[in-house]
Amino acid sequence: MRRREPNVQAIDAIGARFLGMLRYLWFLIAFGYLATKMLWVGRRLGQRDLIAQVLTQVYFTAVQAIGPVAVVALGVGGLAMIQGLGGVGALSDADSVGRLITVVVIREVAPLFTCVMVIARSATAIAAELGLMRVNREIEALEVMGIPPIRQLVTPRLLGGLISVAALAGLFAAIALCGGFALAWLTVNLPAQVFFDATLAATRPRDLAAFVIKVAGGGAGIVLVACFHGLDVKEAPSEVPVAVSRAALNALILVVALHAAVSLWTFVPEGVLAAVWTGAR
Amino acid sequence: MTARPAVLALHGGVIAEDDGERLALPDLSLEAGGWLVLSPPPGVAHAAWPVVIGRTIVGVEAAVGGRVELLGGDPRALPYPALMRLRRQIGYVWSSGGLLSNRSVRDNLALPLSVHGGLSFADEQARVDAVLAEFGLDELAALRPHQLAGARRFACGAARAVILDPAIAIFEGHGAFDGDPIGRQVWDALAARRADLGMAIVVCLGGQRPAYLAWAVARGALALSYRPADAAR
Repeated sequence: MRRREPNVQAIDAIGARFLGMLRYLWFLIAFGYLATKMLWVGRRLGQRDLIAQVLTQVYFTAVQAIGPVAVVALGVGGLAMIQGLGGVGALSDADSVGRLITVVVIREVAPLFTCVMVIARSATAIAAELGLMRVNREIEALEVMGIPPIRQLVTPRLLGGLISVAALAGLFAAIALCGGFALAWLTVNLPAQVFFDATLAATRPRDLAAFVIKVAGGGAGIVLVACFHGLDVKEAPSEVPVAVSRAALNALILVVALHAAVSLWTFVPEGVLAAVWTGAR
Repeated sequence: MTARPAVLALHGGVIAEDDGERLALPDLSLEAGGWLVLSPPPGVAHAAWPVVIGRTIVGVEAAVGGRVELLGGDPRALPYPALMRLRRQIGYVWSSGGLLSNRSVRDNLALPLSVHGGLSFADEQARVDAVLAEFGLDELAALRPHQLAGARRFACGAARAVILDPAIAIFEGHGAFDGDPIGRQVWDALAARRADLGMAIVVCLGGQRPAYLAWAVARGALALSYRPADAAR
């Protein structure tokens, strides 16, 4: 048998990885479609239980995370303001301060930090819970009781995850703005009216649209990745930690990729992208 | 006079296979209200065998040979929605109870009702209370499965399996029947359901259980043997 050249092997390996990634994304999309479709197909399968499960998920993902999110958001808002006032060329006017807070907090940090915290707290928990359910034959129990596991386990977590990430990101942004203002008020005695007017003026519809896309896409992606890896456990308890670490890592990669793509698409001026494209050719 | 339709029928020498285990099941036809105990021949036993048989009967695994008819149809031949509808009429009890670990005993029992029952919340809770009392679980309702001893978990699994009044209940093993009052209460309740509601019962044992077999046969159970498929050749 003829051996392939090392560089061909490398290209093969890269191609295989790329195709594997595309297949993984396709599975996630199909998984999300099934979970969403179950809302309609399974509408006669006890809405009360579904709502109770969504609320439980919101409680675990959002309500229990309010404290940690608030602390981190306060710190991030303050840090952004410290950099604005002292680090990045000492911003002198209120407009610059507002723009900085909008760029740092609303565009990037609030959705990204929220997603990372939800991955750390909830994606790992969901993957571990579903993996253990698989090992203990609880998923099989649902199947044999005539309850579609996707409808029972994935759909409520998807809805609860979306609601939770949206609520937490909104809370994060609000607290970070307050933290930034508090620091500006304490250090340079910036009036509240000036600070919030400048922030509002600097926030464009495009910023809000990007915020919503990042939050919704990130929230759905995190839950789907976690459920996918949890349900992918076959039968051995030793598979559970592997599923948890894969879920956390893949969810993080997905969220960062999504944020980067949205930021590129939304905020980089068209001329810059065109110049990069032309230069690359 | 027309014959009563079979709730469960095995034809053509069904071979059940799962996880490397192959078992030859006897041909049989079980009517509504029937009671069947499947056990291996004396001298051989394996804890996984009831699982293999149960999974094959309900269509989680395909039979390697022969044909399984459950409530008039082959579960493996049904499309997914029809299979889900069929399974609502089946009660299945896992050797470990198969309970959802993140729900209390009460919530485990309420799950099939809340998904398939179509009852109001008050009616649902009343039904759960009645079945908890029937199986001697009233004082354990708030506990989680991991807080229950094995016999109680099995009792809880049995209670959940029958809460929708299924046409057939399939058991992986007989739970803690010997010398356990809860085990006896469970089987008395199941025997009463068989007599009153015409629920068929299939018990798959992984070894010889003389005390249970004698007790069940005395109450009208049919005892049949299966055997490891390699030994059948």
